[in-house]
Amino acid sequence: MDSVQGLPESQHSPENPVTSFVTALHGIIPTLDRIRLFIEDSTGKIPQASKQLSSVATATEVATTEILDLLERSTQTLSDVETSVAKLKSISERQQLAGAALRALAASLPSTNGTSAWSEHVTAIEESNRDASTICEELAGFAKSAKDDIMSISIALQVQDITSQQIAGVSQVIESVREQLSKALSNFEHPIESLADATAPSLSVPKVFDHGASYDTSQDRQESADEIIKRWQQEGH
Amino acid sequence: MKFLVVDDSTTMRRIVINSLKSLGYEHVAEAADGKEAFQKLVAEGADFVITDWNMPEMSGLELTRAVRAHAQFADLPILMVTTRAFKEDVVEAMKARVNNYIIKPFTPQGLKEKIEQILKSTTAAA
Repeated sequence: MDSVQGLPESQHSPENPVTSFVTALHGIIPTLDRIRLFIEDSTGKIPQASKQLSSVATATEVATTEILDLLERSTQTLSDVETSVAKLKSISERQQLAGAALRALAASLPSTNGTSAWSEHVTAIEESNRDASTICEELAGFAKSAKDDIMSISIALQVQDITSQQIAGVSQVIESVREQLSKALSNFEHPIESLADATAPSLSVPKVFDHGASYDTSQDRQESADEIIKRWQQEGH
Repeated sequence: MKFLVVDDSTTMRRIVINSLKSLGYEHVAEAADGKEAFQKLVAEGADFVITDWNMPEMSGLELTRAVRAHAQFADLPILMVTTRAFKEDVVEAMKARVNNYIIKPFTPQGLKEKIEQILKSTTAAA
């Protein structure tokens, strides 16, 4: 154990309570200094952590916007395809009517009535019209299926809103810890010089958010809410 | 039928609007918070409001109370679409007189059912 400077020799005795107290204080000072440095270090790192969270939220929002742009363009393209297919189907139907008229005309003309060449031509026209109509229906089905898939992707992007609320919640906790650490630092004789730098950065997260937001696709929570609403309505509110 | 979609998240507004369009509802206005929504409602009107809860300036709950306090909109259909899933939240929203409540993430089918339920009940009440 180090000798205690500045004390009368009589107080150097290990039995003396004042000496013990001063010695203990000397032992605590380095520890307190280490704690101060630790808090100083942690407080300095928090704004960086908040900035990183903010950049994650921003990047997610930008990516979501880009995906939505693409999905909306694709939906528009598919709508254009549906319109064109509908026009094609209409043309095909008109051609079917024309084919039937042609068959009737051929039957009424003495020069063509009963000749196999006419009949074969008309049959071929009618068949190709039927094929075109079937293909139009298939195309319309493909377009609808693709639009449904696009809608499912679009709906899944709700995850961006929910995770941004979760990030906002974490940021709030981090800011609260930073404030507490800053207060703790102010109790030391030499508070952190760069405390001004440790203020919270402005974050790209919602200012108002739900602490309990979660991306839960099960219908349990909705069913519980529906039950409450049902009871509420039955009670005649 | 004109819808007013209210949410501070641009992403959510686009998703709700796209869902409405996929259901055949083409006439849709939007607002980023309750205050803007109420101003739009008074200035331009709407037949159906779909609103988030947590928003700056004026929350969805405050918007609902403001709308219900306005004689012209006392019976306007309001659907709350929110992440808030606690029983107390649902009860608070019902007390504020929303017509129905959807928890995010929602499905287009779920949205369709709620809209139809609300329209059916408000038509029957009228």
